[in-house]
Amino acid sequence: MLRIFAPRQDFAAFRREIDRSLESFLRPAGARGDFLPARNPREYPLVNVAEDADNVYIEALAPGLDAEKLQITVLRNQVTIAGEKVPASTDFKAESYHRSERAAGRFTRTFQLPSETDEAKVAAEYRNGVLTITLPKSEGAKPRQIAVNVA
Amino acid sequence: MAESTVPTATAEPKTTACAGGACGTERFISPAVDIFEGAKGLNLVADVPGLDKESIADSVENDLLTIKGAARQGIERDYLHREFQPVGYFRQFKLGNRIDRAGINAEYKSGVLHLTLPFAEAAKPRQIAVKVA
Repeated sequence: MLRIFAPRQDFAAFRREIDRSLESFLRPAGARGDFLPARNPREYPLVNVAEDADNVYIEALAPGLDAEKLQITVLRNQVTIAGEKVPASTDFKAESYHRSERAAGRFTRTFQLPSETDEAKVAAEYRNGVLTITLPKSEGAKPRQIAVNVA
Repeated sequence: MAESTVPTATAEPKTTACAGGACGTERFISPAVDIFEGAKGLNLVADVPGLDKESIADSVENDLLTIKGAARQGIERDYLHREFQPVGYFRQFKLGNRIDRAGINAEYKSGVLHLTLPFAEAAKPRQIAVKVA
């Protein structure tokens, strides 16, 4: 893909990078997110955001959810994912745990998308612990081809 | 159940994983696990999102329980923002003598792997009759 220097986006990305690295620096040891995604207390679920000409895709790494209880709300260019990861079992006492690394509980995360979406056509799929949301861009946000008339 | 990672010599060099998953051609991360004990046995729950059921290859060999999943083949897209990569999972645990190897059962549902490790039947004391000569 042809990469053109886009100062605003590039600086925004750079700033995010610095924020993220500072956050990891200030976070207590053992709470680093990339290595054990479920342990990250600040950002859950972890997401990848991709884009093509027609859609924006959000992939979220969220194992062990009940797909029916997931709440995805879209308003213009803002998407919110909310849900609850239930603990593996509630029948066992704390002392019967040898290891407890998988965090559980309610989460919510909001994203600002680069373009406005067509709320009615948003589709979400939950498969193997990965939530994929396909957000079609609204007509106004799509690039328009303009034919040049030759006089 | 102690955690231990040992280098394994497998026939296929492509899937060889070593300590921490740092070497080898594939990349692995260590999945977060819960291990809790019930009356009948141990339960091991691991978060391995993104794996297909077919790509999970768990094994027990020489008292070593291996949780392993091959990296999924993600669709290569034009990413705006990236927080995770499609990587495989690898983690090993040493099994105690109490675990019944044959009875280990695995279940996979929505990115969570649930292993049940039943305790073996307790060895019953055997009565030995003493013969009087």
